[in-house]
Amino acid sequence: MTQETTVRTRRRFGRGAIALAVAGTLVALAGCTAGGAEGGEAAASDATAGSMEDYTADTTFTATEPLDFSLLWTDWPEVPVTDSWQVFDEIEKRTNVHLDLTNIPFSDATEKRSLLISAGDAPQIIPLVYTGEEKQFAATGAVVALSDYEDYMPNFQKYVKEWDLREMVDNLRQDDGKYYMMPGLQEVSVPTFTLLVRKDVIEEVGAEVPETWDELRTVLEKIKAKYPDSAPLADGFEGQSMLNYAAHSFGTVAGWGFGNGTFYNEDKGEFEYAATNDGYKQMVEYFHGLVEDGLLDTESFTAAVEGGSTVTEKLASEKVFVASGANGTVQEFNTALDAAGVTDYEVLQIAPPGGPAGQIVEPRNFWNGFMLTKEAEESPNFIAMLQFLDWLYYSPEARDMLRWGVEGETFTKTDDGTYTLNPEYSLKAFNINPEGKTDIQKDLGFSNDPLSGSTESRALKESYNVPAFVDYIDSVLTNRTPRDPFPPAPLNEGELEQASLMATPLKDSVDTNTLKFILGDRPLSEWDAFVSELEGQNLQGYLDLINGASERWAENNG
Amino acid sequence: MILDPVKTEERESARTETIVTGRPRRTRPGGLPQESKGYRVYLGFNAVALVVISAVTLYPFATLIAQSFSSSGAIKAGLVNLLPVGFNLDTYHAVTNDQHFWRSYGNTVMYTVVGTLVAMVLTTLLAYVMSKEHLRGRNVLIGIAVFTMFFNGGIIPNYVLISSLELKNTMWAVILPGAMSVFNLLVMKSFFENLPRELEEAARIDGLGWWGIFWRIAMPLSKPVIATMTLFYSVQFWNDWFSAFLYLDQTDLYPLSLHLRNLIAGATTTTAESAAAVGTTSAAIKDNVKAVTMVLAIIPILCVYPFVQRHFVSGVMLGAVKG
Amino acid sequence: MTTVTRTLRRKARVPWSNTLRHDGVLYAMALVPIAYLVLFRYVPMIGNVIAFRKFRPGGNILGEEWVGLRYISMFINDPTFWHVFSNTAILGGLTLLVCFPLPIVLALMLNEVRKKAFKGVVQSITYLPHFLSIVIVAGIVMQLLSLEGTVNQIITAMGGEKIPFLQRPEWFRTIYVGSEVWQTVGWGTILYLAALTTIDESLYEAARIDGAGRLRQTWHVTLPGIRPTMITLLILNIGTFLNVGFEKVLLLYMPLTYETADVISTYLYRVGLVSNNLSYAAAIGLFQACIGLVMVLSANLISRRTVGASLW
Repeated sequence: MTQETTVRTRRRFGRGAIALAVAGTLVALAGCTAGGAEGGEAAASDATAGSMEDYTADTTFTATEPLDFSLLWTDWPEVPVTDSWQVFDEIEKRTNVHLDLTNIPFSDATEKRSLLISAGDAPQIIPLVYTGEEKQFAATGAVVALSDYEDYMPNFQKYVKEWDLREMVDNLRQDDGKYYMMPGLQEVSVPTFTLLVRKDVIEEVGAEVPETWDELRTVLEKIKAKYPDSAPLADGFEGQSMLNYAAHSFGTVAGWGFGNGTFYNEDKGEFEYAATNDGYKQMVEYFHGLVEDGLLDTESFTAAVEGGSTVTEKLASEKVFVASGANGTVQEFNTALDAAGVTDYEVLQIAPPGGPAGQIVEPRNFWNGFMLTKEAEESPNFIAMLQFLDWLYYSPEARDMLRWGVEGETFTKTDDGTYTLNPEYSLKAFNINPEGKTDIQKDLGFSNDPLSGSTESRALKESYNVPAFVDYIDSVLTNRTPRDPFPPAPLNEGELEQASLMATPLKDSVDTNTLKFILGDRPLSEWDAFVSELEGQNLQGYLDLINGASERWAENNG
Repeated sequence: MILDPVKTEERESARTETIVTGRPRRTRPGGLPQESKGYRVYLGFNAVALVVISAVTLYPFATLIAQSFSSSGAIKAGLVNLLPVGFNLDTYHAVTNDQHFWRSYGNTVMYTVVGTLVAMVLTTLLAYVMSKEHLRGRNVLIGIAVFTMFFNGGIIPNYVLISSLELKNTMWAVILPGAMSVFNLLVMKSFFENLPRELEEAARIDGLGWWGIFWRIAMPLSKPVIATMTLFYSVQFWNDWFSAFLYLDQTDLYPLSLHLRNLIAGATTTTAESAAAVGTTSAAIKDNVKAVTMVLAIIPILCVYPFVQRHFVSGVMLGAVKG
Repeated sequence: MTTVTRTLRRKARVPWSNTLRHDGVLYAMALVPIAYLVLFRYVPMIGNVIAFRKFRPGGNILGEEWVGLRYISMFINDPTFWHVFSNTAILGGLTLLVCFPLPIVLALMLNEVRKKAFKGVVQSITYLPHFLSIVIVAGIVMQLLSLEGTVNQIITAMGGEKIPFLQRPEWFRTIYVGSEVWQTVGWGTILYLAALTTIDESLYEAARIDGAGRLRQTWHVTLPGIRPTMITLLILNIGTFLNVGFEKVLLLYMPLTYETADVISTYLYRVGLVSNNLSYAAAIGLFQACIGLVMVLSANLISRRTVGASLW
């Protein structure tokens, strides 16, 4: 009997409590989110708490009171972040700013970042933004229009001017004429991925390091003659890497660089679809020719990145002699060749070969960059934050510190700009002082991707890379011309939604057929049929959308 | 004893027969001298097939273990097959000396133990209640559970919920979202439904209420399914990286699964910039670190199974019914 | 007999006070679990409303304004969507067809083994693939199927020509299902083995006395003994057959195989890379969920009508 009564009361109470909890949560949810996107446009200029009155370029920013800013940190697994890292202490010492980190794993960083911003829970400062990634947030007002505040950032303005990057910065502007991210400035920018060649083998077959794709073909033929079992050229990134850096010299875009699929035709003054222009066809024909003669390893054009080690394996077993990679890949190849017992080899990183459109490489690039969530704009320390970020991202002092550490303690710098890492310290990532006891990256937090490396002068960039890489930079700058960037064609919110649905099937068709044509699964005689298929997928409608946006931009912004 | 829900004649008679004749003789099924030759041939085939299946399954693991003892260059060069090349224990040393590894290991153990406990309590209780066919509103309960198998709020609403409940960066954020699997719930319910009713009726006569019946009669009889579900939940919590990924942003709290995913999947990228990031810093993830971490992650869960298996024995003395 | 009693009880109008007195404890036991479900499953479900409202990242998580059926019609009118939908259904259906019976077969095979040690070892080995991360499994598959891989080596040894398996759309389904089998068969036997231990051994004896050989014993005793488990699993798997693994497809597919390999989740992923359209994804999610629910309800009904056993 007692049992029964207790049960009855418990049950009634239970139901009520649940209802209350549900209602309460709903209210809380609605409440949290309603307050979200509004407020804070106007009063930014009042948000001067903690900022410096006389902050100028090339001076150290020091907040007039201790400040706390939140920062999104991407956690690379082999360089795990800790609060005790010296880099954060150093920042705090010089600027009086403490950084609260929110960590996200590298493996799914983009998704988590998206989630945090969408849920309205992201920290104020979001680093590691590449140009284009801010578009979806810009369109919906989730991030700050930083162009409004450029005047608070003297270092940024100084170096944009000095390194002639103003036009590129203007290309970041969205439909409303404002830009929403601040890019990392690079005095020199070279293609990250290019051809890596076995220089010793090239010399062995009596050839020279190629400067054009046609010359490369000759080299490959000679190598194949000597090593008939090999398919000397390989990509290793599903073909996306090689097509990317090749496309520029053929007068088109492809692979990773395909972007939204449009190519600006200077003569016609409008955007055309990259996959249907002459340059694209020539490029496909070129690679198909290589496949026909057994000069290209077809698997490397289809195996995913994870299987990129298959190319390394083939290189080590000497079935492949020329492959795509970045400067880090050189190291990988070297280790594999050593393990396979190959001696007297040299893996060289060469400038991307030229083609029918000339000795052209990708346009100059920004690197990394940051954006600020709307929440930051409402902070009373907003101006201080801008000044702080200007110092952190663009001042030479901060750049040196983020890369090399503390002058006098971890490194020394001579007047002519030579950086030397002190002997007790190592930077194993770049093979500097491998015997050093303390690694400035792993143990102290310097030279870390989220912050360092975004803005670099040429001198700084060359200071920590191997001489071979410096040679590579030189050869690209001397012998190659970057293509001009396309004029902007930013889409508004509604157009963005439409564009993604239109562009994806088109891109899928292009990806599938590019591979089919190259591998020979589809004869090149069907090229025109392929173009018709694309047109049947509303290609013209898509181009109209982009060109419309481009014309609108030109009208509004001269 | 599990009874077939379809009450065919022969089943009923067999059961009654057993009850009448008392405790069944404990003999191995089919373990009598009258095995046919055909059966023995079949047994032979059976064994061979199983060996082949095992070998095929074991091959990639053997390679993985070999890789964990090999040098990074050898792995990249594709030289490691079943045996290590460039045998070294360096990576094992490096990994086990890394306190992040041990911290995440400890986190995982904690999340798994607590999580399994919570999940088992919730699931068992609800499954038992749902298995009572006479219960009024039973179908409503089942409907409530099944509906959630198909409809969920999506990542952002779940995130906002956990965030509003202030559970972010706590152990509960990793445990609670996965604390009830409707799949497990329904399987358990199925098992409970097939427990012999006579035992419960007998217990009622003895004066036990539902709780008593549940605790003293149903649970002991359900060792196989409880053991199985404990195993399932443990594995689920052990391997779950997604909840940690969503709701934790202190690396101190990361479980091993997330740490591992960061390590392994971090090298699989589909965008140019991320690929560039991996390519430019020559601190590329070492294949042997991946292999070692994976091996170390799998070992504990493999040890759990033998413990669980001991409970896969029917634990019923049918004589209880008579008494 | 029980059936009759049940009908009787249903016809009589039992007042709630009686129900509570009899079963109150049961309701109490169910309380916390149900509260859990409500809080952690149902409350977030409200978020699905963004399928009918425009969602802006950083804005209101429940969307900004009603747009009605806009996103629904977006995917209905998208021909690519229907193509990937059919791929998903085919892939899911094949997986179900193949991966459902195999664990049963393996469980039965293991059941015949006398030596406990052998049985234990084989069991442990077959469970292992379940624990491998998908990335590793995909890597293994790619290695095995590469032009220089084991499979092609066997083919050339038998005089055939090398096949680039991963590039051919007609092979994708086989590869996907095959790797699913490898990864799940061993693990899938656990439930069945647990069920097998609960079969009354005297039933085997009775059958043997009736003259049944081993095969007939299996048919008349073993299989019916694990039937409840089989049916439960079958119904549940039918309901979730559209949940084709996103990650595995993403790792194994490529443009050359989009035709058969592209499923709803991977298509959404590519679309979402440009504009993170959560409303669109939510609309599609609701669509999939409805299908799943209808499938389960139908399967349950059919099961009840034909074999008399069902989930509820």
